[in-house]
Amino acid sequence: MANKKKRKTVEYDRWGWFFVAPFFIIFLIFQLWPLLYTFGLAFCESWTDAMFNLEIGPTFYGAKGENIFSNFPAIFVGDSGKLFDTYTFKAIGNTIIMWVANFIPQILLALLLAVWFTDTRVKMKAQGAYKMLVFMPNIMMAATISVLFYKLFDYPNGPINQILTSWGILDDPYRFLNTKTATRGIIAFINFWMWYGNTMIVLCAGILGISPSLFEAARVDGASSGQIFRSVTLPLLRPIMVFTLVNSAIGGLQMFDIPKLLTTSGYGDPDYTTRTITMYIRDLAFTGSKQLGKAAAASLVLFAITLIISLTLFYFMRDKDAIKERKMLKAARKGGWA
Amino acid sequence: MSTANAPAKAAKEESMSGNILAAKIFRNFICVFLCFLNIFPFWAMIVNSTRSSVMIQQSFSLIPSHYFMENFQKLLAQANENVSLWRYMGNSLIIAVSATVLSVYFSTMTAYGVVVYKFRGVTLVWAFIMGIMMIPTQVSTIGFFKFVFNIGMGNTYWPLIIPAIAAPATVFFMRQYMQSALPLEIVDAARVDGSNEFRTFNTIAVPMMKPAVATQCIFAFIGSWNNFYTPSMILTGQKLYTLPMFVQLMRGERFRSDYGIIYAGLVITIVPIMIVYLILSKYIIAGVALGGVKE
Amino acid sequence: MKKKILSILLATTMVIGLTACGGSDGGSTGGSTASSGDSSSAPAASSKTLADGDKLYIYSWNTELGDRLNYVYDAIPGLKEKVEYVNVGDSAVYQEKIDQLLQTPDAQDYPDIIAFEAGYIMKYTNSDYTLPITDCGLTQADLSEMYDYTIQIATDQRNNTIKGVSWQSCPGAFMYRTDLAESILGVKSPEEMQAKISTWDGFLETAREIKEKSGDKTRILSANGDVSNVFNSNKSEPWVSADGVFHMDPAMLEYMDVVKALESEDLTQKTAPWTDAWNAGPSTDEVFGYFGCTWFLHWTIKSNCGGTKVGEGTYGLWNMCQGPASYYWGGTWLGATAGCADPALAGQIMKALCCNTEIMQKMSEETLDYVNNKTAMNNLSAAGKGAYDFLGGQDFIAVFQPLAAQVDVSWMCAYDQKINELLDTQLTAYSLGEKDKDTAVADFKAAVRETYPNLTVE
Repeated sequence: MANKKKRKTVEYDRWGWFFVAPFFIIFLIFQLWPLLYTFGLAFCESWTDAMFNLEIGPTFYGAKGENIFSNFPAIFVGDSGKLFDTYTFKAIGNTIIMWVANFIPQILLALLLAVWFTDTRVKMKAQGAYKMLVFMPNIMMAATISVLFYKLFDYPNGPINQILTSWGILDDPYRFLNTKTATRGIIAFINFWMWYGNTMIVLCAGILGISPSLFEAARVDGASSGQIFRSVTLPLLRPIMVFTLVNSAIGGLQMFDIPKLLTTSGYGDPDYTTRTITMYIRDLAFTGSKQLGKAAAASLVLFAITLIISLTLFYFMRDKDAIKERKMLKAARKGGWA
Repeated sequence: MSTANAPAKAAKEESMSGNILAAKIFRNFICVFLCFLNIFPFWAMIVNSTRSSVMIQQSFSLIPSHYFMENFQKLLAQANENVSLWRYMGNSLIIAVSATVLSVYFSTMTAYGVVVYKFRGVTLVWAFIMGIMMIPTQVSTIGFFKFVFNIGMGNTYWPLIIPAIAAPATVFFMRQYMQSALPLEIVDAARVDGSNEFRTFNTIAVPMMKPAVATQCIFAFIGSWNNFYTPSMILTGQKLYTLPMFVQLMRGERFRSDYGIIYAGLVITIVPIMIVYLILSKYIIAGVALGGVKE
Repeated sequence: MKKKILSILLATTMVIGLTACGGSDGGSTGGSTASSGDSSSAPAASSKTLADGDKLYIYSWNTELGDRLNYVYDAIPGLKEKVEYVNVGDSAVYQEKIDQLLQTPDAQDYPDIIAFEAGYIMKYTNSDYTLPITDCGLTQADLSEMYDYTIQIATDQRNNTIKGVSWQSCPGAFMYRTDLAESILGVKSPEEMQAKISTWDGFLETAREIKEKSGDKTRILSANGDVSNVFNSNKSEPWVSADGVFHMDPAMLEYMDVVKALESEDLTQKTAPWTDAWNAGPSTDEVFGYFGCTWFLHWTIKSNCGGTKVGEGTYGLWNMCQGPASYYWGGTWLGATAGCADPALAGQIMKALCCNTEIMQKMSEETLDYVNNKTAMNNLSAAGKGAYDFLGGQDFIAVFQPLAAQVDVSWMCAYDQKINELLDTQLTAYSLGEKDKDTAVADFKAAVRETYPNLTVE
């Protein structure tokens, strides 16, 4: 009887393929193939002669008897002859700077709010309203938000300049979007502002998912709020924080809409200091000599960097947290908490 | 949401220690400040959309004026030159609705395949889906662009809609939800009744997944509605432009002479979503919380 | 649309055939273009005509061409219904869009006629994406009234075929406020004004004087970048020579110095061209003047002056003089694309808009555009139509006529727009004191090399 039932299930189980098939077919056609195509293009000569608007290539460098890595040197070595002194790595640097400047305050504030909102001693009544308002920018169109901030920081008559001059903080209007630090700061701020609500809600859910008995036990043992946070909340929240971190890093490396629409020219003013790697790839591919080959090579580099960063983050944080968690559980058992 | 029962609260508060009260005041103060920070840009936008260009240039104000309709009429007139503003909105709606339906339906289907059936390689399939979640989509931009134009799908909506079928994050969410919400006994019972597999999925599983489907619909819709990157690359004909592309146009020469018009334009692109959000925020926030707790 | 693919193939083979034999062959006659309206358009080069219900797509980046097309619609009955005018709305994304559209010849909205700006027209006329005007039924005789430079710009450098026509001629001048000139500088006539700013040193000196005497209220220009067009057209050589060598012109180094002086001495409003604040300038007393060309006078200054007749805003309070150097700026050309659905019809439009003296004279009279037709402008000048109330009665034709005759475009090349953009990025950094001049120049060259790796950059 049992045998028969099992066989029948196996029969049904083959249906599983039909259910996952559409996903994989579409994935292969619209994601994997373009990805492979991009990788292939990275080893091809493919650009447009601007003088005659003449498309050259794509031709595989190998087929022409040239070095198949011809697109790569200019990505890694600059005119100065120094490694990484190139537009590609400047763009990567910009992206990372703006991402870090947004992520650190974002995670700290989100963590603080999450702890406050889940604090059982100091109950906050208007939590629902706070959460709603704090999360709101997240679902708004980044394009609109960007143009909105572009207008808010406008020179000389944008609202921010109007406020700062009328309050006497500034004597004269300030050209925010002509200054490297200010422009990067604004971009980082927009990202921070759009995402801390999201991170906070995720962390709240994470804290609520921690067994209340752990907190109770710690409190009974006379642990202070700070101690509880450090030795219970934080370690148990780690997997979620790692996930948030990796997600944010992957998303951050792809930053495009906001810096693209925030600056006047759209090419990362001032002096390319806010040009992100994805903006750079598009500039390569669609302006000037339309260097599709080099753009594909830069994409490959972006892919590698994303992979390295996310794997490193996973590896570091994962390992430590698993060890700590085990240790903590051990300690908890010893201390008779659980 | 719940500040109405102030007297009762006050009575309770008296019994609290001073420390807790101080903490409470401090924390609420910070939260109110943050809420202000989050509303301010939107409020500034809405107020400026109701003021004339001259007023906007002269000084900043937080009090609305009465020029909104005038600005809005001008916006319509300028946007309507060959493509009406409503058309951009309609285009965005067509793409977002189609992409949402496909994305959520097929993601549920994929999740169902992984959860219900124990076919050979199912663990591999699952690991694969998890793995591709980590691939940054914009890495394949160049190839995607070339490929789409090579197969003659450039300047059409297909490349914006069809790829939504393979949405690993949605599949992930659906699987998490399905594991707790869909007892496999029901599937077995349906089989005994002679229901075929796809019918079981459509008539039994999908309805049971309603809350998850609703949440994911909201996110898929918002994601597609706000997308600027892909459409701006694929769509060349102005009649096919989407709303975020219109936002980019607003930065162009055509609208530069009048501040009021631009703010009105921004309001038009943001307020519909804002209203939807205010209605659905509870579910959206619950969805974010649910989706974030990943193992 | 399969039909269209076929016609594209036909067209391209035809173009290749034509260019091979010098482009003089007229090809077979078209014939069946409905209601031609102009019986002299006999040698239509292509057998392709617009299918019923199909439209001829004309692309541009603003409303200007669309407005001018109304004159053509009046002249050719039934044309309006056949034309779809697409205003892309943003010159920053215009080229990117056009390039993509040109890759999809079978798309319904494939462009049949494209409007080009001087900054990049050569990229298209030097390519197989555009048709020689002879293929559209235009003859050498049709070009007789045009200013030579407008033809020179639109000529394919590979084989000397002409591929575009323009209806306007765009010499530039310095446009300034007469009331401010008198109250601040005591200047009463354009000649006096010209004497004060006939050199760049004089210009900067006047700028300082305006700032000082107006009590810090008025500046000579709105944006530092306003001077760029003057310097651009005074280069001794194009950015890139025919053999692909990049050349940094001394005029451009001087340009950097002037902008640096304007910025560091606080001599302008420090806005950026085409931004809201910049557009608001003509209606206030904060900006003394703008460098602008023929269309700029109406399109930008007049429409932003805060009024529509004398007494309102700054209407009537403007004058023009040549400024530190004669220059040329902008202008719009029309060219038919290789896959144009109806070259004969496109030719009719181009002919009516850019070659027909009668239409052009009417257009100039009504819009005050300076048209690319010597006879039309002479007629208007002789009829005393040049006196312009917006300029307080100054004769704008008299100002522009000698300037138009002087225009020299030997400094232009296909790379202009992008390279100017790259220079401006470095110039901003330099003028703000972020880097010194040598670094800025070096970074500029590096940017050119990065954007166009096939060029030889020193």
